[in-house]
Amino acid sequence: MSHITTLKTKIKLEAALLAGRSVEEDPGWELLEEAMKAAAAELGGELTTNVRDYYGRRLRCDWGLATPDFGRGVGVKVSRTTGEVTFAYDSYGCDERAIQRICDTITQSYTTLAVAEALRSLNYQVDFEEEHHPVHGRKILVRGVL
Amino acid sequence: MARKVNVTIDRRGQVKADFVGFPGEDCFDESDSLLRALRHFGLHAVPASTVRKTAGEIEAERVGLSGQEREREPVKTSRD
Repeated sequence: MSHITTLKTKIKLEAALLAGRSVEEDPGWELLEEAMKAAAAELGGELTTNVRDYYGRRLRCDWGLATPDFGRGVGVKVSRTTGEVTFAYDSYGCDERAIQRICDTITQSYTTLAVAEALRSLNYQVDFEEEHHPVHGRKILVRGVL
Repeated sequence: MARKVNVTIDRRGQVKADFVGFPGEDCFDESDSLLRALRHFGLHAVPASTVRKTAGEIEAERVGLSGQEREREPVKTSRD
């Protein structure tokens, strides 16, 4: 028997915390760093460690990504106690679609990297394929072969 | 036949995993292993739906028909 399963996903870095270590030591921490770099490259953005609000005030975060479409930037914060990952931004007077595009790109990049690492840890050989759809956007296929 | 997992990730990060070539109920054990591995790498994944493949679909995969060719297989359309 074989099957197809659809999964709802959420990013949460808790493996290290559950083992009594800091969240920066989590296997997902490096993946998140890598996902931010990939998202910045894809959107032509710049990685920072803070984002700005409507008044120009700076808010510190673990990573920030400012793009030509949304110069204030979207921040990514990881809770040091729960590992919850949240986006931080001030959308006042801005194009919400530009913000959503940044959040989606980060999430898709992270998910792709996590799936690839998970498959490798189960001894699969992994390769990637991208598909672009005018309405549904980019889809990424991660192929694992045992 | 090689065992494969084809994982599609949409723009919102939602995931569809297609398990190919697993005998018996092994694909469900593999699915559980994948969920545990994903959790280790910071991705909490909860199954929203699971669809078992028909014998015709499995046979089509075994002989290596492409997705489009499978679409034309009568057994596929009779599943629902």
